[in-house]
Amino acid sequence: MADGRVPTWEEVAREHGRFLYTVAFRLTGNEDDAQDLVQEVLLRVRRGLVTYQPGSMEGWLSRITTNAFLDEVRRRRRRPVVALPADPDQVVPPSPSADVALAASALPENVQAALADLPDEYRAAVVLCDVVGLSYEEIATALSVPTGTVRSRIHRGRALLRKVLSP
Amino acid sequence: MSEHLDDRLSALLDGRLDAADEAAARAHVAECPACAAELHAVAATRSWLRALPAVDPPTGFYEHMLGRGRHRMPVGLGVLAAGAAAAIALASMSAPARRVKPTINPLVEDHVVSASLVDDPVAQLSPIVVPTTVFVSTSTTVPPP
Ligand SMILES: [Zn+2]
Repeated sequence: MADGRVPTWEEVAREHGRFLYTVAFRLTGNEDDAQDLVQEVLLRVRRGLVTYQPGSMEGWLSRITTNAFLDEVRRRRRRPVVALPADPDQVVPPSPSADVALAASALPENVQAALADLPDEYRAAVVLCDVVGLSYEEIATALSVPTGTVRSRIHRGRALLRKVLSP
Repeated sequence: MSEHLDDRLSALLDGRLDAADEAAARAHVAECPACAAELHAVAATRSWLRALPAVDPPTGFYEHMLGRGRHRMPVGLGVLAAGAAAAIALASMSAPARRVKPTINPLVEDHVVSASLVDDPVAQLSPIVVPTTVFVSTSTTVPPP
């Protein structure tokens, strides 16, 4: 915000609604979870649960959205459902036949599907870097990890995506 | 030959290496087919990700939320209060068509859809689908109805 004021949740919805929904959708991978996540973000803004830091509005919103997303991920993980595999390579689904994959590999829906299969922390880093366009430093702040970890997660995320999209 | 570049390849693509490291990385890629192939692959993925389009929320998604939030914002769909009213709220929020406006003239509704999210008119037109008392803040997790 130019005036340094914390935006209201209504301003966020009105002026950044599409951006917010896009980030939420790329992080969660489906509409229902994206809508829940957007609602949670607006709730946090409305309740003043997020500290405003001067800088880009999109960076600020991305950070809140990613934190809310990862909070939910961790909450779900505490339930004994599915643990994150120690080796991220294990979560890569079987590749489709090479000719199909090569023909369709860059279609947005295929990229989105592959993105949804990434381990959550990798997906968060990749979305913040390549979908939102944040710097490594901004991503490090958002995820509360060192920039070296950001670099590693971005690279591994991209490499895993490539494996799925065109073996 | 030095060890493979690994995540320095993404740093190279993102312009994150200083001049000396970048020169070293480019020299390595020129001599190492494995890193050259990985650089090519990661660059492709990176460009696909960056080409992903923006995603629009369902029609009326924010209008609905803003209109209702003027009274009281729900805690979140996963933690709504139990009961039939919550079930209605949940259904109305997860159905493909978000808007439930049986009493509103279609022309007015079209105007709302086409207009940008203007504060007051939307607030006046947005229906209260569920009694506001449903949205009393609570942090308790509720079993499905
Ligand atoms: Zn190499």
